[in-house]
Amino acid sequence: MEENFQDIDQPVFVAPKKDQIKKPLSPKSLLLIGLGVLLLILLILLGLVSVRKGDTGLVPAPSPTPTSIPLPTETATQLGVLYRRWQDIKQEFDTISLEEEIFQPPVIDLQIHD
Amino acid sequence: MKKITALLVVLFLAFGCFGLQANYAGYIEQRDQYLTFHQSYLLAKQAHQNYQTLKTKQELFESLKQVLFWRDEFLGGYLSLLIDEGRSLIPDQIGVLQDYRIWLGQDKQAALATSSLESAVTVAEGLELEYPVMEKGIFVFLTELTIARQNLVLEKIRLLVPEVEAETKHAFDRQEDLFSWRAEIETELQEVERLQLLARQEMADSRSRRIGDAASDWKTVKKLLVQSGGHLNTTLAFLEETIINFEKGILD
Repeated sequence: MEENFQDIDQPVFVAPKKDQIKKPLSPKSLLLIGLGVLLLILLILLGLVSVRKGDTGLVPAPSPTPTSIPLPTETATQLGVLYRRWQDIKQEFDTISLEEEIFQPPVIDLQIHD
Repeated sequence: MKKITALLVVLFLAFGCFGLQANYAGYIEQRDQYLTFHQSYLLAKQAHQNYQTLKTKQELFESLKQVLFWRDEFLGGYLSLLIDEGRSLIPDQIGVLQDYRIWLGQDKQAALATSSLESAVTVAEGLELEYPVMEKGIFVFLTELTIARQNLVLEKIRLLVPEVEAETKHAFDRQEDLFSWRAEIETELQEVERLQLLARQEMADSRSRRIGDAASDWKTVKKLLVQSGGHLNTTLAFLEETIINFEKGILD
């Protein structure tokens, strides 16, 4: 009976099986992991650069369907190009004004000596 | 290389704009100086009329000398502004203004060289004789400047019309409709040119005997130029309508 108690109190040491022992990583594995990490960093950096350039690499969300007929400026047609030219001409025309300061010659006192 | 070129273009434009701004600021300063000295001159004149002393006469002479100097500066500044505006658009018209500026420079020196009230009065009379011609020259220049600005727009419209026509002609039901569309635009543009011609003629015929002759005729010329601008605007509105209606498919 005593012997049995002693058996229980004593820690039981079970030797691990051969395939359970963790082996230290070989230099080759370390090299592969290192390269993998470097590649990951490189990809992240490339991704950041692309984002900064405006290319997210994502497919753009479709624009909402227009509820009305778009103006020619919004279309990629030749007519749209012509409309943009029209806008430029109109803008230039709008800058012509006869009310500018330059169209008001100075008023000076020429009868100064009287 | 492209970046350097772009930078040079930006710098060139920036300095160009800065130059124009500086000229305008200078002109405003000259105007303020002239008005200040003119006010002092009026006070000195009043004082001399009231007291008729040697002291008030000397003060009147000094203030007249100042006002004559700044009057030429002010006018010269205005001519410089006009020359800057016209340099690229009407370079053949700026020679007259440059001559006036030279004349004003000489007049300014003459004002500075005066030593008595009588000699200052003689210098003051010089501009009075010269100014009616100068005034007409200024208004002729303003007429030409406006016409040149309008013609830039007109030329661009003339280039745009055949292209709009080529894009939209198949949408017209009948060939006659297309002809009438084209004729309507041509009529408007011809009207622009006719009114410009009238304005130019009116200004050329303007008298320059007395001060204010050209300024009076300018009112008529200005109306003609506003009308020609109105026809340009009508043409532009017509073209816009054509483009938009074609896009909506309701041209015919």
